[in-house]
Amino acid sequence: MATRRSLALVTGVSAVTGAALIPLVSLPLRDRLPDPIATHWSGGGPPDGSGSLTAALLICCGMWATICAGALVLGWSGWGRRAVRTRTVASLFAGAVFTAGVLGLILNANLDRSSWRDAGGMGAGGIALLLLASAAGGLIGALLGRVGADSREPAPGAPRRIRIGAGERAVWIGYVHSRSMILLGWALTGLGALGVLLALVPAGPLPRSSWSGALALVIGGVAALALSSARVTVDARGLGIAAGPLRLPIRRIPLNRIGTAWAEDRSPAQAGGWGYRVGPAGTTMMLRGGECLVVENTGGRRFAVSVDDAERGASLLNSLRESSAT
Amino acid sequence: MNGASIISIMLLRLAPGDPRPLHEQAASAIRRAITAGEVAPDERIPPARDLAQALGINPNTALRALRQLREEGLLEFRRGRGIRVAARPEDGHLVERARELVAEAERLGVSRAQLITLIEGV
Repeated sequence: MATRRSLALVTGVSAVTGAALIPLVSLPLRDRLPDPIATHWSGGGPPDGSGSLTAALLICCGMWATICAGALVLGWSGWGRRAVRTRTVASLFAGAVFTAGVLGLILNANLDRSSWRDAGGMGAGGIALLLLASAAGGLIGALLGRVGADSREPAPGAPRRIRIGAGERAVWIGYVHSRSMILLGWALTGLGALGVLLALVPAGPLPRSSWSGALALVIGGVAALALSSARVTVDARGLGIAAGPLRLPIRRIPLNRIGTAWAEDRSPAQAGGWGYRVGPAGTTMMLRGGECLVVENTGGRRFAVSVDDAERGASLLNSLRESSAT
Repeated sequence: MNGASIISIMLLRLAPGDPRPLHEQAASAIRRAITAGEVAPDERIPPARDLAQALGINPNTALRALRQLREEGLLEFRRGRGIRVAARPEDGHLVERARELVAEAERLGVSRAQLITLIEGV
């Protein structure tokens, strides 16, 4: 995709430029730096750790590479969307200023000192300045990221339909299960329950205070189970999603708020992960990669749920909407 | 694909002129889905609770419809594994035709026994 190519280009060029600039700026100062240099400070006082200049530069390069990779991941789901671009470029700029600032502070503290122990302190003022400058960099990045059109893949032109006879009432029920999520849910719940038990047993193997951590595991497990399966219903009321073995109703979109519906293949990477994901491209309930039922409401926002046979669900939704509009 | 998935689309006729009780209408909607091949043999049918909610009928009515289809040999109830389709689309079609025949006989005042004799004579 062309938009992704430009994202890869931006992050790639940034990463390479940064990796080149870091030694290019620092190495000429080598003669004015002690060897090793001070690289670690605790609190606001004098340095308490040292390392070679090369190691410090490599760590800065690594930090910058991580930030670029993070931006690539952040922008991957929708580089064409203005909101995604704003966020991505902002984090890239803030990260650039932060990396440069960290390097600058370290070099400045060591400059013209005979030993790393004589290096200057890392005061709260310098740190505050670093964070402030990063925020300012992020702001500039956000403004730059906003430039350009807010585009996304258009909804398919001709919505598919299913014929509904006069006086007929049509209903579609689709199901989706995620076996891995079910396994994860039961594993966490079981492990947590065991932990709570062991923590509460007098003179047990676990300290008594660990019961809360174990309980958190149980809660996480129950949450995973609640999102491990879903039932998707299309009827005259609209689209309804119920999750988990208890079929908790989690989302309902009334028919009169639905613009158009279609089926498309989506991967968890596109949705931003598994589970209930809210993103700039819309909300996705992603239980497994593959066929998804996508609904665009009258306001242009999109909701997608991974479900088998989404094509028929979408067709029925379109037909119901049209027959209710007339 | 993760796990078993069950899909079905059902068209339930709710024409005001339909004199049949609701459970018969629900049964015929599910039968039609089987006949049309929308749910293949051995595929799962949504549980009665889901069917009832989707069709706006009482869960007991939905269960009654499912039981009727089991008696017709179209569905199979398996403990812990849900309700599955036990017949080919053609079988569903045959049941549908048989029901039409019975209804026609009733309309003409032909008794069940007479109808059975008639079929055996074919």
